[in-house]
Amino acid sequence: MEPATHFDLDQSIAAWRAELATQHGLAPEDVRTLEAHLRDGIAELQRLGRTDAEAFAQARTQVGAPAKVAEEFAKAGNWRAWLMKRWVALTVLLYGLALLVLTIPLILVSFGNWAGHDGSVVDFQESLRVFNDWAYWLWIGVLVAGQALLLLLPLNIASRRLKARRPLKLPVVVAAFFLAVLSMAVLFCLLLVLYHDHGTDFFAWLDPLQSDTDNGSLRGMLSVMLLSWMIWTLVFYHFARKDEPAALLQRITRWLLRGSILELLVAVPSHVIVRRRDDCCAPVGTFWGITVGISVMLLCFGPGVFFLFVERCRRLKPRAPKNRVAQ
Amino acid sequence: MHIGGMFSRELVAASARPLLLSILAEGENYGYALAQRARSLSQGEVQWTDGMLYPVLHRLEEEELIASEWRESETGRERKYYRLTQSGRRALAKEKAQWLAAHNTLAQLWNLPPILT
Repeated sequence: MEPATHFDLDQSIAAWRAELATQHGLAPEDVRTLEAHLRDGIAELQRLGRTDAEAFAQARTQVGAPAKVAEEFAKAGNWRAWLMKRWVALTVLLYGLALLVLTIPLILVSFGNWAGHDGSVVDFQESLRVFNDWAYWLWIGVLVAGQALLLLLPLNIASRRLKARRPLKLPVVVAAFFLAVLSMAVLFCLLLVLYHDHGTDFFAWLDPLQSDTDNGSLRGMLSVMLLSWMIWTLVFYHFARKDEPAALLQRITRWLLRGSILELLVAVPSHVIVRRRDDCCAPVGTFWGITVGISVMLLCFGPGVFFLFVERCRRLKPRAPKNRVAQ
Repeated sequence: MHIGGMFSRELVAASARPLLLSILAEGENYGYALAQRARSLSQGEVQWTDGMLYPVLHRLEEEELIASEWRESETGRERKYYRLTQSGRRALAKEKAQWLAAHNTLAQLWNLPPILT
């Protein structure tokens, strides 16, 4: 007579969970839900007097074959939605990395020794100081957050989860923000070219409080930025009311791309002009203009990259049950 | 999905939505208990497998008719509890009206008394 082998319930559940986790079509959340269901089933059968081994075997049968369950779940699209969310995160990460990688080369090129004088030449060591600047990280944060928010629309389109017009407000506000920043950068660069280091004084005139000059310029800039943001929001809201979501997304990316190209057509020559002069602070302003143009241009590629991922996702099919007999 | 003697596969699938909404109208509950309740109400005719139950629950959640939350149960194990939302209550009222209308239409043809809504 063979000795009775000890049945380890937790180990058996862990093995079952591992098998489920390998199935295409099941998101981690699904596996967690199924495990909770299996454990409830086992507890119920144990109450009815079954042994651990019997309860596990019966509860597992009730749940169904992992491949079959995965196939049913895949039809519901939970798995694809989870994959797409993961790819949104990957696209945002790639965008953030691109910004970080481009930072130093952009500083070195913009402040290189090509302007005919070496008053504001920045070398590699100096360029690294940008990473200690909180304003730099704030700007990176705004851009990355903007990219993530902008990708919510293609995510909803790809998941076919758009309801009413509610989700369209967010991309409209985000796109309007970046167009407002581009408009502001164009104005900023032109003022610096025309009025040298005093270009920013213009904004003090627009200060709603009309108090001291330094903070007045900042308040004036913020007021112009806010006004511009509101105008662009109204423009895009007008389109959002008549465009289908996919058409609106195309329009947003097209406008942002064209806007960034136009902005760079102003910012780059402005930077060359102010760097060839003996301006003290103007090159920093025009350099910001260049970074805005490049950042927003890269931002436009986000939805495109995401849709490439979605295409790849559509080609992925849940694995067919191994034990299915051809009919 | 188990098919009983009276319920066809299609009927089990079609009734899953109103059944789940109606059971959740009684109060929040977790997946296993929802399946058990449907089984006992239908005298074993409706037996949902996980492969059917959770995708339906997921769709109802996507439509914001129900909401879910992971919580620790009284036994110490974690469970996902589902509850009906306000939109879910409205959707249930519509479902009820539709199913009763269908029932009453057939009841007239079969000379059965109609059910008042």
